[in-house]
Amino acid sequence: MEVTMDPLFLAWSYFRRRKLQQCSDICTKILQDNPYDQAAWSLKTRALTEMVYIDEVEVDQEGIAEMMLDESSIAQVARPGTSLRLPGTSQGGGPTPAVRPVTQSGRPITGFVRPSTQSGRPGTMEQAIKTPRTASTARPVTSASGRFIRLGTVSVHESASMLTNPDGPFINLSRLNLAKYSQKPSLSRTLFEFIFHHENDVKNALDLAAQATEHAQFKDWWWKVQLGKCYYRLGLYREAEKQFRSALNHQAVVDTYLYLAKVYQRLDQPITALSLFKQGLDQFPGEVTLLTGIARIHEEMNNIASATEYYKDVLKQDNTHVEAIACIGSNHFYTDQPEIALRFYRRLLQMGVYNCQLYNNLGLCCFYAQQYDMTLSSFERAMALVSSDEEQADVWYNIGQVAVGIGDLALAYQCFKLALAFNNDHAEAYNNLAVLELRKGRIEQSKAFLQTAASLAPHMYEPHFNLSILYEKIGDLQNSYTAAQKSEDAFPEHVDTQQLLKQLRQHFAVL
Amino acid sequence: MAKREQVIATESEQQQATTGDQGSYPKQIRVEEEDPAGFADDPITHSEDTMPEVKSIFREVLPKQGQLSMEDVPTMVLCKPKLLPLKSVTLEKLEKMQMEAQEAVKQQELAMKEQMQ
Repeated sequence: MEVTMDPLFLAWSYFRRRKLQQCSDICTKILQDNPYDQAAWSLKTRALTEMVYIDEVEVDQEGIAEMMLDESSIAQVARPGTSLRLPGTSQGGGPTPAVRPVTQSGRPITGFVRPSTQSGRPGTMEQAIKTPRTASTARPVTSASGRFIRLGTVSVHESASMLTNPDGPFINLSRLNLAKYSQKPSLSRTLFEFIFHHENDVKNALDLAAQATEHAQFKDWWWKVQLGKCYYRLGLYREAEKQFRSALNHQAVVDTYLYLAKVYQRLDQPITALSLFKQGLDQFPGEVTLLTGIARIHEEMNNIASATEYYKDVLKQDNTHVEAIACIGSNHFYTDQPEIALRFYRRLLQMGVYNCQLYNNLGLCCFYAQQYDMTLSSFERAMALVSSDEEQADVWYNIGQVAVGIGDLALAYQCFKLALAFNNDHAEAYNNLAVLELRKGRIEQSKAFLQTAASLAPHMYEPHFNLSILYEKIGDLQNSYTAAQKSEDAFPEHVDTQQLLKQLRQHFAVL
Repeated sequence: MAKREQVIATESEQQQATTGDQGSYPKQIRVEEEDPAGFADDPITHSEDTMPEVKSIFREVLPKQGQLSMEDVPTMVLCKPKLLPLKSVTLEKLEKMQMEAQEAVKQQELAMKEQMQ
C-alpha cells in the first residue's frame, strides 16, 4: 500500500515552494472534509493572499478626485523647494527639457518606473481628464494616471477571487463574525491580510484591525501599522500618521518608516519625509530602502544631482540595486556621457535583467557612444522582446532618432511613421515627423502634425516652438505669438523662444 | 543701269551675306555650347567630377582680424531620444496580474456565450 503524505504537510511544502495554486487546492479538499480545520483555513487564506500580494509601500492610487479636490494642502502656492507638486521649484538646477525629455508633470523622465511614479500630477482639471486618453500603461513621459492601475488592481482582485472559487467566495465577509476572529491572534492576522490584499475590502479590514488592536490593549505595533494602512487607503492621512507614529513608539521597523514617509509625500511635505528618512537611517544605518526613499524624493523635486549622490550611496550598500543603476545610468546619458551610461546598462545586463527597455537603452547608449556595431543589433533584440504596442512604438521612435543621427532621413521618416502606427498618441514622433515634412516642403502636413503633437503633449515645448516658427515663416504672426507663449510656459529658459517672442513683440510695436 | 544693277546685286549679295550671317549665328552659339574645349580645364562649371563646394564662383573670405559674426536663424527642434525606464518588480507583477485577469475574464465570457448557445 502506498504511503501518502499528510495533506496539510504537503500543502505547507507547496506554500513554501510558492506553488500557491496547488497549496490552495489541497487546503480546499481538507476543508471539504473538515470545515473547522483552522490550520488549513489559515494556510489557504495565506496562499490566496500571496497570489495577489503587492508591496503596499509601492502602491499608490491617486485618482482625479483626490488630486483635484485636495483638502490636505496647506498653501495654494508652496515656497520653492518645499513641494513635490511644483516641478520648477528646485534650487538644484535640474536638466533642462532641451536635453532631457520631461513627463507631463514637468519633471525630467526617470530611469526607473514604479506604480507611484506613473501618476504624474496634472496641473489642471482639463489635463487630468484628458490624461487617460493619451496615456498608455507604463509611460512616465506620457504619464499614465494612477487610476489605470487602480482599475487594474480592482478588476484583478475581483476576478481573482471569482476565479479561484467558481462556487462563490472563499470567505463571505458579510457573514463573518469579526469580533470572534479578532480575539484569536493566530487567525486574525492572516484573515486581515486576506481581507486587505485579496478582497480589497478596506472597510472590513479596518473593522477587524480596530477590534484586534483593542484586544491587544493598544500595545501591538503590527495592528497599528495595519490600521494606518487602512486609513491611508481611505484617504484619512492624518489618522494614518497618528497610527504609524504610535507604532514607531512601540517598535522601530523599517516598513513603518516607509509607510509614514509615504503619508507625508501624499500630504506634499517632502521635507518632513526627508527628515523622517534620516531618523530612520539613525536607527538602521545604511538601510537600502530608506536611502532609496531619500533619492526618490530628491529626484521628484527635480534635484537630480543629490538624487544621484543618494543612489550612489545605495549602490555602496547593495551593488545589484536595479533602480539605482538605472537612474544613475539615465542621468549620465542625459548629461552627455553616454559611454558611462553604457557601462551602467551593461551592468544591468550582466545581472540578468533581460527586457525590451534595457536593450533599447543599450542601443541608444551604443549609438551616442559611437559603438555603431552594437547599435542596430541591440535595437533588434529590443524589438524581439517587445510586449506591447506602446513599447514597440518607443523602440521605433528611437531607431528613428538613430536614423536622423546618421542622416538617413528616408529611414527616419519611415521609423517615425511606424512609431505612429503602433501608438497613435506618440507626440514626439508627430513632432519629429513634422520637422521632416517641412524639410520636404509640405507646410500644411507639417502644420497638422505639429498641432496634433501640441494637443497630445502640451507639456513639451518642442511642438509649440516649432509651430511658432512655422507660423512666423508663413506670416501668421498672431498664431506664432500664442504658440511661442505656450512654448515659454513649457520651458521658460529656452533662449530661442525668448528671441522669437522679442522679435514678434517688435513687429507688433511697429504695426 | 549696269552700275545700278551692280549696286543692287551687291545689296542683294550683302543681304544674302547678312541672312547667311544670321543663319550661321545660332550655329556658332551651338558650337560654343557643344564644344567643351574652352571649359575643359575650368573646374568651376565642370561639376560632375569635383565636390559641389567648389561650385561657388565667389572666393571664401576669412578675415584674419576683427570680429566674426554669424546670423542665428531659429530652426525647428527635434524631440530628444527617449531612454525607456525600467519597470519595478511590483509594476511588472501588477501588469502581469492584470493581463492574466483580463485573459481569464475573456475566457469566462466565451464560455458563458457557448453555454447560452
